[in-house]
Amino acid sequence: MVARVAAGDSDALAAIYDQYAPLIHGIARRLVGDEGASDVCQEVFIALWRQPDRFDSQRGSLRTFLATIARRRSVDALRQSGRREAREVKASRMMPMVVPNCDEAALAEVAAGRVRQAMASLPDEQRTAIELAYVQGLTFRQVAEATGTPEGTAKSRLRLGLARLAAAMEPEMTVEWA
Amino acid sequence: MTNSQYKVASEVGALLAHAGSSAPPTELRNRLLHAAGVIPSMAERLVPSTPSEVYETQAKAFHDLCRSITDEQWRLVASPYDWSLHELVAHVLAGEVYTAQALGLPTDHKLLDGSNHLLTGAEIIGEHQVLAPTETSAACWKRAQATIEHLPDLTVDGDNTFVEYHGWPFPVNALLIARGFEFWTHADDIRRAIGATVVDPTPNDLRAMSSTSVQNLDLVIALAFPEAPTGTTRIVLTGAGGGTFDIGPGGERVTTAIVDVVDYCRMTARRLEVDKLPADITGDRKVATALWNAAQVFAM
Repeated sequence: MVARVAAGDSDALAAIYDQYAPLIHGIARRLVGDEGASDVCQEVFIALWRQPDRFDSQRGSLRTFLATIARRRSVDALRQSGRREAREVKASRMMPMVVPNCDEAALAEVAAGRVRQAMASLPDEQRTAIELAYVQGLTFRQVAEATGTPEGTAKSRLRLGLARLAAAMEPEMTVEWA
Repeated sequence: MTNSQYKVASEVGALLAHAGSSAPPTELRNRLLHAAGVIPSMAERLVPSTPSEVYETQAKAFHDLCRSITDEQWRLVASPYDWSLHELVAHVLAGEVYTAQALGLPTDHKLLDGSNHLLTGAEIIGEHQVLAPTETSAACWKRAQATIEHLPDLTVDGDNTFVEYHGWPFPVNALLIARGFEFWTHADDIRRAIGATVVDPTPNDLRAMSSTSVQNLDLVIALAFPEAPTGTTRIVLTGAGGGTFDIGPGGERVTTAIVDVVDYCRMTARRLEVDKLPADITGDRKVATALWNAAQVFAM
């Protein structure tokens, strides 16, 4: 499909957009908010249109490639909008958010469903801590402030929550805990 | 956080990202496609070789290849013909003489009959059978060089200056590209005969060759295949030097054909059969087949 984009086939661009736009828009929205998400989303796909040769299927999936551009463009947008300090913290928290090397969006959809299920099964305080940290992008200190708990408690809730999620998500994530 | 916890956090973050997918505004898709229509694609940004460049580059490559042929190899058969490599080069020489005459350039030969491409210059081939292959090769290169000297003048208005070539009205620029294409095709014939690897033209040359071929399909169908099924077709030639071409009468698209640009060129040269062309076709296959048949007219 990317070869077709390189050849200038807009149908191929549309097909890729249809498949990945919700993911890319979701990433952008969490980082820059509703207002700038559409612009970032468009920039991501225009970048693919302009320079499809930057995508190397040997190095990762198209999904990962687009998500990486989305994150970078979002950070650029934040810098430009003058909200650098506050938002870069958020962006840096999101940096580990490398989309899995999984070409099948359907597979990710299934996994995402399992995450939602696993999240729902967590105790409220752990689920809240994870949502604040990984969905809203707050730092440990901000999670602690938001939940009215000491920072150590917030960290502990995150650690326990992640451990339970990891256990629930097997075999998607095989993890050795230190 | 330990490294392993960090890894879990990363993966959870990734999956949460998917879980948090959000539908973009519906108008964004249209905005994107409109922008893509304005912003040149990677293929469109590739500067095609000029007709002169294609001709000169491929003629020189052919000459260099001929110089590497050994005495024994000259007798090898040049498939798909019955000719030896020596006779094949004599055929290319005859083609160059005929081309020069069509372009109005002076030659040392009497005016050749262009009614049949393969028979054109049979006399020249016969004359050269008694000469050393290296003499034929040298004569071929000498003839090409003489044409190269005239390229600046020939191409001044090369898109709009037409000459008759094998009974067809040919713009000079398209003719030069067709001859470059002929040099490349026969060079690959030689390479196959001597067991060497075939060589793809540069992306810039490919772009010039493939776009010239595709953009003439409408005309070729109208002139040579008036009964062929037609319909608006998108041809997507993938790979460096390819491009996307919408051809046909306009209106609703009936066919989309996706094929590698080098495979397309080899098909047009009849080095790949139409029914063996690895093309991904959606829609009316008959229209695509008619186009491929028309494209082979480009093989001179």
